[in-house]
Amino acid sequence: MAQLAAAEPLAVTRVAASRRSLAARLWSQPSGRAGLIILAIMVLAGLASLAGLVPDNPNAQNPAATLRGPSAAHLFGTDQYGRDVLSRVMAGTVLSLQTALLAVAICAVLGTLGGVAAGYFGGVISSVVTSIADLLFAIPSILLALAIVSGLGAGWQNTAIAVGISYTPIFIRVVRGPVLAIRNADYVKAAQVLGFSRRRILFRHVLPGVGGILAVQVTLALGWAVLIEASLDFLGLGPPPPAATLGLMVSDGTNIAGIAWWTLAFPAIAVVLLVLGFTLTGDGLRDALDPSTANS
Amino acid sequence: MTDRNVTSASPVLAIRDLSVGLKTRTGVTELVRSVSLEIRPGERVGLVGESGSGKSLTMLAVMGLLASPVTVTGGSVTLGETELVGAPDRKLRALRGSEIAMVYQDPMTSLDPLQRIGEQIAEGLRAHGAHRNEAEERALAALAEVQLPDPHRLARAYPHELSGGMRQRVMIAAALAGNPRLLLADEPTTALDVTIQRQILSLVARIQRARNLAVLWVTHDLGVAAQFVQRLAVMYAGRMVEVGPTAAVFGAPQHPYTAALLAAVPSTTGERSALGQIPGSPPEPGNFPPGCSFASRCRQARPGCIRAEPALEARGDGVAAACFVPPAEWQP
Amino acid sequence: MTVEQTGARPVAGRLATGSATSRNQALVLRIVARVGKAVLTLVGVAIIVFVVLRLLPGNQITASLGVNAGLLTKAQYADLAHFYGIGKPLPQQFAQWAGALLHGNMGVSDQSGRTVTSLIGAALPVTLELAVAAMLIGLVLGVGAGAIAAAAPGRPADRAARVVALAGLGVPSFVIGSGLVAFLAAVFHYFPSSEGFASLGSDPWLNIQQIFWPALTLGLGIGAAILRTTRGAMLDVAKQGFVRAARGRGLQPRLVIIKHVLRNAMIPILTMSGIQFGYLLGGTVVVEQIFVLPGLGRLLLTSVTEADYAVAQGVTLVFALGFILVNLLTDVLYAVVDPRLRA
Repeated sequence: MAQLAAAEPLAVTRVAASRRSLAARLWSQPSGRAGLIILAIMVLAGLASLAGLVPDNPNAQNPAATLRGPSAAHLFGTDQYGRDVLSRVMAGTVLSLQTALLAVAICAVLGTLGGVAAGYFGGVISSVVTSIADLLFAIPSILLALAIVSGLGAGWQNTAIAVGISYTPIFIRVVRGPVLAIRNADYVKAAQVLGFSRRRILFRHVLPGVGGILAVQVTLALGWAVLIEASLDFLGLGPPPPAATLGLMVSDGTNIAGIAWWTLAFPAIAVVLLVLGFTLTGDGLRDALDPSTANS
Repeated sequence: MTDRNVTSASPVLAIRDLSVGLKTRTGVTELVRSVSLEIRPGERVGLVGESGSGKSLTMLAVMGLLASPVTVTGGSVTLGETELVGAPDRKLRALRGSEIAMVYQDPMTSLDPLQRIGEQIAEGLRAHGAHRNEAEERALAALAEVQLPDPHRLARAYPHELSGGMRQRVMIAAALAGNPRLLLADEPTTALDVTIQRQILSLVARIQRARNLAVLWVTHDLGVAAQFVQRLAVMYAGRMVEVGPTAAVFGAPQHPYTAALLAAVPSTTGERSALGQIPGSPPEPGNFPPGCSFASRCRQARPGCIRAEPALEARGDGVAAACFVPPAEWQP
Repeated sequence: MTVEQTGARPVAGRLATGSATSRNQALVLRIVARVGKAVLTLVGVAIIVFVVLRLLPGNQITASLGVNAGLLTKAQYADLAHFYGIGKPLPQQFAQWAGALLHGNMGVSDQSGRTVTSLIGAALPVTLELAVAAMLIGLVLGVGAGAIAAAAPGRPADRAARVVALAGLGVPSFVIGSGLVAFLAAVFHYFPSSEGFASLGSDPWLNIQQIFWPALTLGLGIGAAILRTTRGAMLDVAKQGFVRAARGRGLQPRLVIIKHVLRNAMIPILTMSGIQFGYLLGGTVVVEQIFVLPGLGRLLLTSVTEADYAVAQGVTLVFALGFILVNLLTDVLYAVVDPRLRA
């Protein structure tokens, strides 16, 4: 309980922390380290799948070997069509990763543009941008995604667009705050007084200050994107069968989980690992960038 | 500044060889090193030093309010007959507020913004067994004693409605409401206007005399020390370097650091001269040099000063100092 | 009202409070401004949804006839288009719809023929029950575990709580839900969804069972986020000077935590709760599908995939309204908790 009484500011420990590089600090955080390791595994698995280094063709059906449990031949077992679950999970990982990357690219670009515009220019522009952000935020993301996907058709790019647009308001909010704070900081005012061009102030003073926060938010957004994308696939709104999406696999697996638990467990674990990997890394990044928010 | 109330009875507070350190994975970083100080009943003692000298930590250690990883690493602190270091929390809680109370530096953050003023004082009294009504009455009385106008309305007000000076008076009221024997004050006037500072000082002086209250007043301002305290202790780099009656210490400092501090105070009389400065800066905790910590900045340093640490020695007139070089041999 | 100065010793400073009536006026103005903003947001949402649904390729005709839509003659297509209201200029369609809406008429479902209002009216109580249950579970778990974790940071209880929170955040609700359904079925042969949904009035015990598991699924995710917020906020507050001052007055640790630390942590907790409610609405779509609940989420899913625009618009508006109301509620609660916001 003594911890809950205030102590002297520990300037000593903080000085020591800032001397190590960002990467070293990220690695030393248990959350950062775990996140990076998990991500490394998943990305490797995905790359392997892309390179064709899979045990079996993810779409190769084998009626003779349906619903076999995990074995030496099929590490994750086979599904109801005899397809190798491990290969499908690896292919699903690729799909999830590329969808998430495209989605976050969209919302990061749109959101940063909007956030910087709102924070830097203020006034009418800020009001308009934040109003749009509030509106988008009030619409449940699933609905937005539903509408876009069911209208544009099923395909991983459309899913990515839907997810990306839904997350944009969060980026706008996250970016706008620091931009506003930096813009009003004394050193930026000094730059203005000295006559630096707006573009120079933006690129050399404002943006670098936002970089860290952006990095954290991008990482967290990737985790969120995987989650929403998998949910959409689960609901049948993603790429249709026979596409190997993790969400579809979980959906199918639920029905036969009683007799073939591996068809549900492994895709589910893959989704969880992806989301956790990004979330942990994002947390670790946040703590590494600002030790005062560290959770120990 | 003699005071008839000071007796030579046994001390209210006796700090003996107190050490405070920061526990890290690799070891312990010393922050306060073997500090000793006594406070007698009704006495006003000042604790002076630069930021980082360990004065605030010393007071927090007395109250038992250090938060891990900062902790007491040695020594003893006795309040009357009771040993405070290592005492169970239950015992310390019984003493805090009722026997020994503390006022903190920043009035803006020392009050809960979500709670009314009166309630914050009363809850402390209730924690020591007062009934609801009694606590309310005593809280109102305390607010009146610190000369806050309209205690009834003030008690129902929230902290953000008050100015800094008023909040600090509330803190003092809260500290005194429990009728403690000893008041610890950690630079309570540093964050305030100079005029408010004087008002608070005279207020505390008046109350202190009326109640025969022992006070330990931490400050980095020698002017405040001169006005207010009867005995002065000077800390540097976690150590006590000089202690003694204020007039003696000011008149004839026995430690070069004290002398340098006094010389750095700008004079409004006499000839104009450059502001005295102490070159360099204090060592950081964990990086204390061998021997006397002040040696690297000391005009009087001798080769022997970095070989051994000087201990506090009596110099006559109630003054003690930790220095190898007596003032008679100092060079200007 | 300035405070009178007493005696011969002037004390600088006066209470910075205005008169009571002017404070009340300011408060009322703020509430009106908030409600106005909420209404505007609602209108904005309505417009966006309307436009998005109309702009997408495909319409009610292709949705209900699929590939066969290509076999229609021009005249047949024109008739159907007229029937569905396709082809009129968008603003006109919107005005028509908005006008009817203000009369309480949300239109008729293209698929079922029932009025949108009746469909929503039937589905709303289900989702409402689910949402309330999920928020309750999330708050109790989150604040409770978060407070326990914050009371002893670094100790086993704290570590365990943080691991559990991570699991709750990282595991999507469709995984938790599916896993739960599969687990209950396989291990306990327990199928609460197999019978038709029972409302609270008709069969309370069955209703509770049918609501509990989906609420738990959603509540775990909510609880995880609130746990982290609670823990972080309480640790931040604990570093503030007034907490130390309270301890310095001899208060018991438990009292300090509840009266001072937790109360000051309420604001970030409230904020996170509001955000989680937003995600909750989206989560009902998935969870109602898994647990076969006839709620708004399920209604939304089917209406969008079947291009039943009237229903989709209606449900979206209800969701948005719910979200906005919860935001208003949290704003009010902010002012209740923090006196600084009432001035």
